[in-house]
Amino acid sequence: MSRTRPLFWFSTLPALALHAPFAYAAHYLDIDEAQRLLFPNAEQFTVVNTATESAGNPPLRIWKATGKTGLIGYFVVDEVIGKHEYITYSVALSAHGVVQRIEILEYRETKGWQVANQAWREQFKHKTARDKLEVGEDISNISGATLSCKHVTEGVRKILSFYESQLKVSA
Amino acid sequence: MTRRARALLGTFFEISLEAESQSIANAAIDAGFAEASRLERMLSFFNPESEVSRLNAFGHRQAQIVSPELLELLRFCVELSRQSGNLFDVTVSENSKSTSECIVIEGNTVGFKETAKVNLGGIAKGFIVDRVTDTLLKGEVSDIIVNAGGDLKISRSSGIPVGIRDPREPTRCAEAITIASGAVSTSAPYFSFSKLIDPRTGACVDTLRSVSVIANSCMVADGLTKVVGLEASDTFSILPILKSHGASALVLSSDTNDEKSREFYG
Repeated sequence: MSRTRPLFWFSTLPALALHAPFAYAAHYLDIDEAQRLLFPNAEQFTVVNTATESAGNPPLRIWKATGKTGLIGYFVVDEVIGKHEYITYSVALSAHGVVQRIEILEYRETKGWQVANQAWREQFKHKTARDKLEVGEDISNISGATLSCKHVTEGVRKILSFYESQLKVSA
Repeated sequence: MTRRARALLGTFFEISLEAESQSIANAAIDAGFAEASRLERMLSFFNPESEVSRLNAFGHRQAQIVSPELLELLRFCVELSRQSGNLFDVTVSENSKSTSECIVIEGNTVGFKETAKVNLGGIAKGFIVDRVTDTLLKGEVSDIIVNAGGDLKISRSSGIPVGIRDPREPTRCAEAITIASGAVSTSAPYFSFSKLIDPRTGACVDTLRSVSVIANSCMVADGLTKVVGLEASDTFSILPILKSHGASALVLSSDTNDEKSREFYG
């Protein structure tokens, strides 16, 4: 595909190692991109210390978004684990704790539980142009049964209860 | 390419596209997500404030004026029901004896002949994917891909591979189909229990098959996966239906004892 493949391989080795356990990964937004997108009027994002609070595991990462008029809201980053997937997402809360927007930052699927079945796999040989593709290498679009987003919905509930118990007082 | 995802329609809803600037791309994607959540609020069976809930509450007493969107979707549902001998059926009722024949569409009104409800869960996602794509096409963007957790539509100048999950190992792909313009929808039970009910028996379909339909419209593809899922052993009845919609189907079985582990129709 690429003429510079050997170099490509060399330069991406650490990244490959990091993503090795994942069959499919999609990166949508970096944290700073999401901050600008969710709070276009914010001038500053200040980290809220959540280390000592009951912010879950891994702990919620929270920033205060401030603009000309003071506090605009909170930018929260959380990770949830589904049955087969790891999702990093961000939530924009207004200063009064109302959800303004939720954006998925990263979506990764595990493949640790896959069942190797050589006999079944053999049947596909020579039948398709690209037999048994590893998802994520060059396939960035997949059609398949619908994955539920209920873990994200549950995560947002957790964030709202954290706001009620920990952030509201300081707002 | 700009690619973003949100939790919508109970799944991960992804939009990717090309635009001249990041701000044009962001505005187009926001408009696309807004259209998806507007239609979700309109078509949800579970939201008591949806248009579908209003129709379900009053449709058997008096015909209801409905939006052009719901009208278009219900027209197609009735057509596909008729064509498939009610294998595709969006109606639900207490005794499960209702069929789409009880849906009466006149002008811009919809009513039910008997006490029945419609649940568009088996087709609304495909319809919304089409509508979101149409919304995006109005903007100054190109190379659009809309993927609602596996129901996807592509509008591009060049072909792109779409992986079909392997029903035995859903975190891998069994094969890839190259599409420049068109839709693919896959129905399979590997991430949850099968929710496909056979209207002939009223029971859940106990199958480990993955059914993918390729068509121009995602609504058509989504609806046809249910028909093919119920009739996969009956090629004679499937082929004419697929053909009339310009669609084709790929059926993968995850049962190793199944002799027909891969069937292509169309």
